[in-house]
Amino acid sequence: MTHRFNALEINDAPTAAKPAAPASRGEQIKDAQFFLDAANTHFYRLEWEPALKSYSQAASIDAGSAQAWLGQIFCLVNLQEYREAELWYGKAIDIVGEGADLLAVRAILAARCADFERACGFSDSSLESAGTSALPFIARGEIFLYARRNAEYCFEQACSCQPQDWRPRVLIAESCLFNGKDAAVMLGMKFVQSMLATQGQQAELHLALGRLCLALGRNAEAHQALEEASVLAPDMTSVAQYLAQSRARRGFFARLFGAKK
Amino acid sequence: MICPQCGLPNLDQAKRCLRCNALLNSQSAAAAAPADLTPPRATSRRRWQKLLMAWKRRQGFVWPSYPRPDTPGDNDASSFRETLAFRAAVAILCGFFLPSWRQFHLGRRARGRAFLYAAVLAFVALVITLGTPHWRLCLWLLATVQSWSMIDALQRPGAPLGETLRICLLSFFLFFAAGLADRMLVHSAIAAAGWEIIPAYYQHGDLRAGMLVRVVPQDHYQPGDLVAARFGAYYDARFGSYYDRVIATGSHHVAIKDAHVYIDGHTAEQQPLNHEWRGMNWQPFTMQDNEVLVYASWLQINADWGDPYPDQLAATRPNLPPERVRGKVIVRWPLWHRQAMP
Repeated sequence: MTHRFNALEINDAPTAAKPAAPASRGEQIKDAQFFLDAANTHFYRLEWEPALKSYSQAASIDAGSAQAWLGQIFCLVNLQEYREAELWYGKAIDIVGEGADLLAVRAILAARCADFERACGFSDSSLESAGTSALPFIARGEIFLYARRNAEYCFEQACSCQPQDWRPRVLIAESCLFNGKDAAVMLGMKFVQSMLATQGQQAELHLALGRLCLALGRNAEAHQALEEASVLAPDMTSVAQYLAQSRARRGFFARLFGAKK
Repeated sequence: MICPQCGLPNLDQAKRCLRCNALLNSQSAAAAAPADLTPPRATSRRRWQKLLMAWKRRQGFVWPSYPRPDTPGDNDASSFRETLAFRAAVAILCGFFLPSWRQFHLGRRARGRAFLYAAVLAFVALVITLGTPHWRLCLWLLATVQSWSMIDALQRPGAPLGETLRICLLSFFLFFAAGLADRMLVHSAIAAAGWEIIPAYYQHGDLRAGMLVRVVPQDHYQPGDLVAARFGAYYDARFGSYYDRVIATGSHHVAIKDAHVYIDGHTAEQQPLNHEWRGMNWQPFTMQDNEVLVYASWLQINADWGDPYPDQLAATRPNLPPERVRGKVIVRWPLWHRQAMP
């Protein structure tokens, strides 16, 4: 269908990139949604650089895609490039406006920079227009972890927004792991394990569980979860480094000094 | 409105194209859309910044309180409790007597433990060094921990610069106030125990500066006993009493010449406390039966000074009547010099 428009002279916006035309019939059109899907896959597999690249490609095709901008900023936050994330957030709100999810990721960024006052402000703003998105509640929960308040309630609210979706659980695990305290890690494990009971074939959940177990020093459980993740998703590159970590902790001295429980 | 990207006619009030989701206001889209949509990347690792952020995250924060609805008298009570004066009073009182209490109350357990351990360490060091010249150092160390804990309890995240500066100024005052208060408490405890502090010029022999001693009145004294004696008249108002060794008791013929004491023509077995004393020469004299021979060896009266005044002479005469000997000196602190009470 698209070949009918190839000969037309349409005065397109000069900065918007054109999606690449399929080389042959049946090949998937690499439009913004294609790159977004690829980016999301990489993102939840903790492959930040490929995810950032895909989100950038999606944003180049469709500059108005809030999800692409959100993904770019979130990838920069997870890569701990906070200043760049802040800059890119400023650009994002100029183009796509301030949405609940963008405000939530900005709140997460402020919390990870230990700028808690701003984090509270952004979190309040994101919750005012939260809608059905889980991210504002996850951001609030992460801030509550630092304030030693009831983060569990916020995470439960996030999960209740999309009860069958495993993605919020992965983000919750990521927040808990970044906090680093044993209580937070165990809280994250609780949410991941409850989802694994119904979606045991999701490799990302097994990866999250493996990382949580590694953080708690439960080496055997971590190894088992990571092995399961690598079996379910053999193309997942991020699991290899965690498997290597779990193997390195098998030595006597590693167990003696490294294992917490 | 025609979509500039795909050409689809859209409603006038639509912001985005229904088909390709492009922004319909082509001017703003062209102006706002950056040329490059790849975000900038960090050129350095900023390791120290990240360490600082990690440390701040570990400290956590107190969730900001929001103003409550107006209730009668509620604003006045809550606003007073929030004032720096009230918080300062609580922090100072708690911080002085138990340096970490306010930290625990605020939920900062790690900090509370740190201050508590430091205070206990400083207090134990003070107790151990009491009676030595170093006890003042430990006292000021304890004052440092106390004042630091008070100031830490006063601070709150996000406070304006003026408040932070006032707290800094307060910290200097609190440090000296805590030190002086601790010193008063130590002196009060020493006085309550009935102890005395050996003056600073005692740097020799069995009694050293700073030692805590107890003076116990006795009926009889033996040569070699350390005693506290009062000066006579002239020196009483200036120095009070002095501490030295009993050289002899009872009726003896005494001569003091060239820093030697001679009892009945022989060199005395006991000598004054100060091994380097250079006392004035005394003409030979005979002691009474009840007199005690105690030479104030710290009083370095040089023979070159000339003859002392008559009242000085009387005040420092070495043969003391019993009423001028206050009692036997028993060392109580430091612990390694402690003597048993008679």
